[in-house]
Amino acid sequence: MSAARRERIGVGAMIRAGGRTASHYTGTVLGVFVVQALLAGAAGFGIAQVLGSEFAKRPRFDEAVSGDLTALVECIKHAPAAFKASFWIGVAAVLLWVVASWFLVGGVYAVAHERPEGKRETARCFGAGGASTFLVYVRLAVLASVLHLVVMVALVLGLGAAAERMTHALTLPGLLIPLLVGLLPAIVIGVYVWTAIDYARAELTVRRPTHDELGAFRALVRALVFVARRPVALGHAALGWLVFVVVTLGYVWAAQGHAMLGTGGAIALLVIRLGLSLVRFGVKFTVLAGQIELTETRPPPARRVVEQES
Amino acid sequence: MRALLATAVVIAACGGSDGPPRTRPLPSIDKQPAVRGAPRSPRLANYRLHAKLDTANHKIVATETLTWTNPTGASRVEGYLPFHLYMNAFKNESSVFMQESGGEMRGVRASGTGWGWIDLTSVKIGDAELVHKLTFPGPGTDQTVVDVPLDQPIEPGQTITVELAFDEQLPEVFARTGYKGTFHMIGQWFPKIGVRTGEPGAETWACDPFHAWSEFFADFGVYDVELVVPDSFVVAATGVLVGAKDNGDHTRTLGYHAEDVHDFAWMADPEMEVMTGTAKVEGGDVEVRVYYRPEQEAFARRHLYAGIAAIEQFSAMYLPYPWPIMSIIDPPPDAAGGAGGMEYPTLVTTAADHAIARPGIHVPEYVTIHEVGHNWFQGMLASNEGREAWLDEGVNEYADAIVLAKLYGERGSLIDWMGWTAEDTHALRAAAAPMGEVPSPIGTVSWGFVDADAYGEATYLKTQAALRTLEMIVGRDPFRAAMRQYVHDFAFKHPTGRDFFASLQASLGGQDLSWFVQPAFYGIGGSQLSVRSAECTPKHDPRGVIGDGKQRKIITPELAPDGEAWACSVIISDTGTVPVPVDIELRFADGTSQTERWDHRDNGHWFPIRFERSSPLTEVEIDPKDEVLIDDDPVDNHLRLEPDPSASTRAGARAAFWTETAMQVFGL
Repeated sequence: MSAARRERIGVGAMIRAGGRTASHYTGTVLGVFVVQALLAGAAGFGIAQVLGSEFAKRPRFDEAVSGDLTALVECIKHAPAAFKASFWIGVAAVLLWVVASWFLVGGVYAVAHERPEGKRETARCFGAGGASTFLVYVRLAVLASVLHLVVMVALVLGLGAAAERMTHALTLPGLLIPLLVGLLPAIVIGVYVWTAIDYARAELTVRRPTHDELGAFRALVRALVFVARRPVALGHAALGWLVFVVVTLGYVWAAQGHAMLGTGGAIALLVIRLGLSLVRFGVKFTVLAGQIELTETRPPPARRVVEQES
Repeated sequence: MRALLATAVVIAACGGSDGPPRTRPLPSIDKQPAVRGAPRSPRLANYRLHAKLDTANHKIVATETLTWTNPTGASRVEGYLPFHLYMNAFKNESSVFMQESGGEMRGVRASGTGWGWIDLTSVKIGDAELVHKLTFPGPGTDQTVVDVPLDQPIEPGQTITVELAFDEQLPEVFARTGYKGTFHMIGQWFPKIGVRTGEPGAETWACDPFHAWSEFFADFGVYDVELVVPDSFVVAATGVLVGAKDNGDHTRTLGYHAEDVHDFAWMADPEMEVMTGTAKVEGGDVEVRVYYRPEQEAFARRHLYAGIAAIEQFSAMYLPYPWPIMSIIDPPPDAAGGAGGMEYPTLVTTAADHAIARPGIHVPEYVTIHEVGHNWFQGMLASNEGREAWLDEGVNEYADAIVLAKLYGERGSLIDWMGWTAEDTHALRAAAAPMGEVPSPIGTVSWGFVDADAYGEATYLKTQAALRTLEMIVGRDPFRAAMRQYVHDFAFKHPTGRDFFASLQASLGGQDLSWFVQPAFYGIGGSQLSVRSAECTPKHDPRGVIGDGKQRKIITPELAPDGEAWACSVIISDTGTVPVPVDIELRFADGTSQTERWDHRDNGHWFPIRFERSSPLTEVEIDPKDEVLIDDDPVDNHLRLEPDPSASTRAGARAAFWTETAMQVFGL
């Protein structure tokens, strides 16, 4: 590794590097996004089928979808199983995506690290990267579940502490500030944990060719230490989440009062939502690529010395 | 830096101390008479009370003089006089109230340390001290009713005076009364005599123990009450303020006078502000006062608007509000669960101040309208809230929905916010458990319900739904006129459910309503209307084998092709317990429609409709105006013959977007 690569880099450099990678590998970005959109679309299709089988002949459901709150509650009471099934279809899609992510993120990191040229070489690099790290990522996910437990505890304790003030809040700031304060420990720990997991994955990808003895546990511990010592890693990831939240809330805010009915409205809505998801996905891809940029500046783990008996 | 530190210390020091209590100006005497015009009620139970509130220890030391009259023509009263001691409901876990409620009411748990009780220190009739002769009829160790022995019977038309003295510990606010910090809401606080009920000449005492899901029942009378409170406290009370003087020891005595009321409640708090407005009512203006903590000012404005509107609307619909003042207490948020949402004559407590109750979510306004409405349904029509709770709660709910719709429009009367709408009665029906799952009829005594949910669903929601349905059956204008007549006939009396329905029936031309009233109010369940099946096929001559022997002929589809007309068959069913005549609207592909009427009071649980038409049937809708609110499930009232997946597709697309959002959070 060159001296230049070992330089400390800032958030700006990470974003620029991520952006360069995302714009260079647009096919990879779009490819993974399409997989995600297809999975979400399949879930939506399944939910539409479940609800349609129950309500396609029931005009009350039309009113529920058009904003009649009473009609919505009546429909849930009428066919609670359909709504439960819809919920679990959504949950199943998310879980499936999480599992798929253990492969896909390996591919993304591999491409960002190896920087292959040409579609064929990129595809090979993506597939090989995803396949070679899949199992170690699974082990990493199992180990990280302990850390997720810590996040959950922080979440429950934080919200519990804020509950009293939230229960009696009279204004939106009075409600949201305790909520955010209550969520803050879980958010901070969560971003830290998720960022550390990302860097553990990144290092497992980057060091795979040279440090095949680097396991999930060691990578995770190193990543936890690294992220704690390099605030730039945390800041970069937090910035990515901030953009994600702002874009999503912006959509929710802008969508209020625009029913977008009819075929034209439905198509417009589909395009807007797909565009929004693509933007958020692009941000995520850029963050992942930026993490590779920073990971490449990390000193490699020490090799174990194996003494051979003469 | 040093200056900055000094400033911080000063600010911290100021912030850390509440300072001396702020002496409030002596309130102005109310100039208005306590009630407009001549006495409205028989005024059988008249109270003179003097109470001193110890705000540090939340205690009251009081004396009471009751002057009670046994009405002329009534039966002789012998043996004892029963008094309610409601505050003893909070004395320990053995009270009937605590046993039934499990120490929880409206989502608020009773404090494990803030018990409340009342001790009678003296009870005199004439010169005889009876405090050591008192008995508690129970049940068990319950002390919420006490019997005062009588040496002499009380003859019809005779008046008796009872002198009482009592000490009282307020509970930490729970089930309508008590303290929270400096806030004191004081209701059900004084010994209150029972009511003689029954056929004339055969009356008995109605003085039930304080049950968990029960409210109150008392005779009308005149109240003269002196309250001694710290001069830093703001007080709101039933009636009008007729005297105010500082006592020179940082306390003041406030005198209140109320006429034709059956209860007296008050609030004391040093932090309250008051906001006033005027309701225009036939016979004179009503001053509406909202008491609120400064941080609740925005909600106080909403309560004031709703309170004024409620008084004006109820007055116009039923009977003009006869008292000059209405006080609306907006309890502090941490006391609202225990003290909020309760009605007393000329004074109510509201609730539901919360950040999520944005303008457009009319829940705070609904609470105020409901409680103000109780000044008609129980304040003036003093039914027994324990034995027939629906007669004030449910009837009031019915009226509240009318007021809400007038104020905010039919469609969004309860919620009209960010594109989501909900009408009050329909929303409450949707939120409630199906009527078929409530195992107690509306006409159940409060303590006879299986649980609090069943009490709430039958008493409030099903009653409201049944009355709205009855209104649809007999016609809106006649029903509302009949309701008005009922209020006029029974104001300042003690109507029963039987009186209510007899009054309605008389006003509605004597028509028999029992076929609906009996199952709806005194049976369980509701209607279960649904479109069981609907189909339309092209009409053609009969196909198959026609004739015998040599005349036998096989008629094929080619020989008997489909014609232009359609043969349609619709089956409507009702598997519920309450029959309701309903309209059924049939809609056709050519845009036309026809309406059928199913009056299934005496002809079974299903109704076939068969007809021929030039255009095929596309939709069947039972009760197209959605007025049969006693029907549990309106979703299956409307059927289209050809499926239209557009709504489910939209829902699926929305679900896909949010699923993808979750995927982007948790994956990759």
